Amino acid sequence: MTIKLIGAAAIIISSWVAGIMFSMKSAYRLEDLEEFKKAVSIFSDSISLSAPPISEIFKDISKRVNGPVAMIFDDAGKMAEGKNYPSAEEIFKNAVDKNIKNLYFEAGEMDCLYSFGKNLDLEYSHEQKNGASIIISNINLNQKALKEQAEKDKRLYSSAGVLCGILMCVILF
Amino acid sequence: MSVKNEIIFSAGGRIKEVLGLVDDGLFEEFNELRFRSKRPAFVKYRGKEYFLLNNGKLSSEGKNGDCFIPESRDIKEFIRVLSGYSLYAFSEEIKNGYITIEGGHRIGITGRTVVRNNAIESITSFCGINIRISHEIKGCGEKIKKYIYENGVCKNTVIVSPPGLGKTTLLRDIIRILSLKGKNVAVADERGEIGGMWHGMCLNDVGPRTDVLDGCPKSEGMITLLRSMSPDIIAADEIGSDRDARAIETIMLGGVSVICTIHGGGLDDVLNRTCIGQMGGKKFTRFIELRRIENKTEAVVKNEKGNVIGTEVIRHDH
Repeated sequence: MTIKLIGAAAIIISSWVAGIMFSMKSAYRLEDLEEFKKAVSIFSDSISLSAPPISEIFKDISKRVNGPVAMIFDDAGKMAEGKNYPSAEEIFKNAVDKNIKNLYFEAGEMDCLYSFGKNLDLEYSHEQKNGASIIISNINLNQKALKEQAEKDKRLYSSAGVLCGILMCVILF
Repeated sequence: MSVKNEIIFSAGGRIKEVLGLVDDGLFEEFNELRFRSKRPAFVKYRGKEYFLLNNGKLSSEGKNGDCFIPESRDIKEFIRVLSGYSLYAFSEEIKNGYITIEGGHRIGITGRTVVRNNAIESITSFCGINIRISHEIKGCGEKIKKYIYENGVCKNTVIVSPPGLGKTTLLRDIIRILSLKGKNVAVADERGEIGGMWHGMCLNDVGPRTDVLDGCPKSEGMITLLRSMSPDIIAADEIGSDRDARAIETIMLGGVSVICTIHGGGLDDVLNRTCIGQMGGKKFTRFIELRRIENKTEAVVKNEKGNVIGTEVIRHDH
């Protein structure tokens, strides 16, 4: 009986943990989005203040943000230095595609990423700054929806995990 | 880095591909490369113009299908890559119609201008580029030295010629020679062609005692250098405005010698038409007119009265 109780507790706890881990996907998505928003802000400030070349801005961003977003900007900075691509948009798209497996972004966030890439080939700094502002606004909207989603997912998946655990115990015992 | 690598590294797209096919040795002797949208590309080599072919070779005849003809997108891609995908970072240079790259080579840009308050705000819809290749020719100023430098004093000198005859090349070598002679030379290098500055490094040899202020307007730069660098000589390229003339007068009154270049057909043209003719008080005492005769560039040295005091060949084309 004791062993059965211990086993049942183990099953319920592990399925609850599994539920929590499923719900973390939304949390990681939120983290990456926050880092991307930081990156866009740094970019916008850089081009209006000292206006260095894009390769330097990307490298600076890669040191000041974390996670897969930092890796995207690091790769983009190296590609921009090499000057082997026809446009900054293509550089950024290649850098994103190279790191896509590390990102938790879904369609809405990927749109923001690729929009940022398109923004890079605008000729004037004020146009790029305006574009960056629009992207930040879109990110803010996505973040709001995502926060609510993350809360719901956490409750849903942890509850589902516990229920699954109980169900498995009922079936097994 | 060779001239070819300096240009190709800055280039992009089809223009980069074609330039990559050009023979390395041949490239080193190019003077200019011109690319115009939907028209054949031209190369100025040893003073003569040739068509640039798709295989990277040169031809004096432009047969259809053989000539490299860039499209508008090729020009745009070239400029985009040239700027490091950062056109916003070169807005001042683009406004002036050119970008200077590593090695001091100047890339002139044409297109549709955006005008505000009667001044060019920017250039967009790029349709043509002219790559003026900077050549450092050490020793071309050696024969001129005796006319402008006596008893430790440098005479106020101006080098006059139409574009493309080597005023900047000669000025650079004179700066180097005077610097080696022990003079502190300060250079107001507005277009970056004299020093060939790149990320704070002077890529051209301008001598051990030369200070370069890169990318500044000449008149302000010369006054700043006068106040901050205790120069014996101040040098500047392509003077022409009244502000330049006033700055030069101030410098001369401060006891510092001036060497500069100016666009013009000759001494009379310069004195009648430009700010130099309107300078009061201290003036230039040496005028070096450059002219091209057959395969050589000749310098005719004149004094303040316009009398010829010497003629020297400063450059032979091979």
